[in-house]
Amino acid sequence: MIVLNSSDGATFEVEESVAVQSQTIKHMIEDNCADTSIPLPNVNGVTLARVLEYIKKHAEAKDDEEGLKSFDAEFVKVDQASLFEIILAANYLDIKGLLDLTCQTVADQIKDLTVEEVRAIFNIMNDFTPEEEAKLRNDHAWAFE
Amino acid sequence: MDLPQEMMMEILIRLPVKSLLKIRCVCKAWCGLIKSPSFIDMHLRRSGNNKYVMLKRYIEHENQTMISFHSNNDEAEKSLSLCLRSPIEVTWFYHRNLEAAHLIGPCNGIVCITDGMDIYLCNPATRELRKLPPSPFGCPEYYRPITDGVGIGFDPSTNDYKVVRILYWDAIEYRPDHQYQAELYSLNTNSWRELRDVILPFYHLFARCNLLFQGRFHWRAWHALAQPCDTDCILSFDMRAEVFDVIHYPPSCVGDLGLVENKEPSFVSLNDSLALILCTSLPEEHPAPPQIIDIWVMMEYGVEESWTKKFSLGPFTIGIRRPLCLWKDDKQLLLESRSGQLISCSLLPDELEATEIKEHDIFESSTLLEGRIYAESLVSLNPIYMEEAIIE
Repeated sequence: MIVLNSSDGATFEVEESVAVQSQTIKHMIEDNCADTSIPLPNVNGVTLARVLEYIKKHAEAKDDEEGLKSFDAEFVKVDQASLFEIILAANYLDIKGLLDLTCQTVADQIKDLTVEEVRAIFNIMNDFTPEEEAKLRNDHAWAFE
Repeated sequence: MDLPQEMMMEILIRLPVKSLLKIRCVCKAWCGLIKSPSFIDMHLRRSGNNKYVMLKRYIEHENQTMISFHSNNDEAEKSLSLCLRSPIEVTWFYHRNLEAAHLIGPCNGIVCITDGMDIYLCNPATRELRKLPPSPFGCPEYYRPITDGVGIGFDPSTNDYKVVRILYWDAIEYRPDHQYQAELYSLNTNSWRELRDVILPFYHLFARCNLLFQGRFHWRAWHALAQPCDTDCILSFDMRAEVFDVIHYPPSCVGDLGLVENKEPSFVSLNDSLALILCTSLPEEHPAPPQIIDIWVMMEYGVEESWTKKFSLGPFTIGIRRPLCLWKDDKQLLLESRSGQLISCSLLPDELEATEIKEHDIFESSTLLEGRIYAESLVSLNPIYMEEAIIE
């Protein structure tokens, strides 16, 4: 069993065979940095719990394609902020499948939004002048329909 | 909360081209990112996961050439009845002069369309269209240039898209010789150059029967000078090395005269190998006598001994005009029936029944159907340092 410590002090136990879905953890174990527990200062308790839920399910139901598909679909039904936290965690822990799933989810969510809505979600300031923005829109006006 | 740039990239490369063209307007950083060559490259690599069936058809009574895209992923894999959903997008591309146009490519999301006289490059995802400048090379008096075939490809060593054009000088008064030429267009320089030192055999091409495969462009050809033994073969052009080569058909496919008899060849990529589809020619009579489709695979590219007959489909009695393309991860073959409808048949051994598909009818009658598997890209037809306007 491997012990993981989140940034806010929560402790989690997980089987090594499951934990190594995270390439980051896998390398730490291989480099013998995991004797007592593994500190994960970049991931908070709530997010780490979710990530572990994902990798546990994907370890135990490995061959059940249908089951995993519906699990994944339910798994990403969280609020935006949590989804972003999971993306960051999946990236830090280097869990390819989870990163793929969460990034694709966000992509699907923003695919049909307006430019203003996308700015709002990512908290981005519009630094185009009105003329510059108008030109960009005109270049591919059909994309905005 | 703010996601770092690296994570934004992971999200953005999963977006379709249409969304990306819109989302460029969010801010300058995103605009620059989406236009950057590395992003375009990453997006192109991922785009291969999401393929479409691209169909080109000519609508006679409207004198229009239309390209449409259809889903390649149908969840109902078990039943062959519904295979093509309504077109995802019918592109804008109409052009009066291209009634006999045919598709070349695609290559990294770029398609070449030509009627033998004018050549266009097109990115259907970004709706960019570029007409190639006419070739500056003339031909001698009493001759006129006739385009025999066109090919497209990507040269990774120069990061350039190239169009090769094979033409011959046709004598205005009959002369028995044909002078073949090859010319190469480079998108980066927007110019043509002659391929003078390249050995070009005297082959006539069937321009419509073509395939870009692993960096080489292939045409169905026959050797024009090999009297009395005209030999059917495949002519290839290596887009990077700029060299022609010839691949012969499996020996059992050609008759004594070296010709493929009573069958129409076409080429596809089948599980990353070059494959030859031979379909019994469609006669005029009704009902059509049974047709067989044989599929030969060149197990090792360039090694003629490695041709292996992998599939023999049919007999079909519905009347098949021509095969179009493989789809559904090379598991099914899309065909055009004699009535201009789309049919799909499975390559898997236990599902040999051809089943008709109802395509969403946005056209009544069409001819000259062509099909390709297509993946979107952001590749621009306007390399940054070009000042040419896009001609529409």
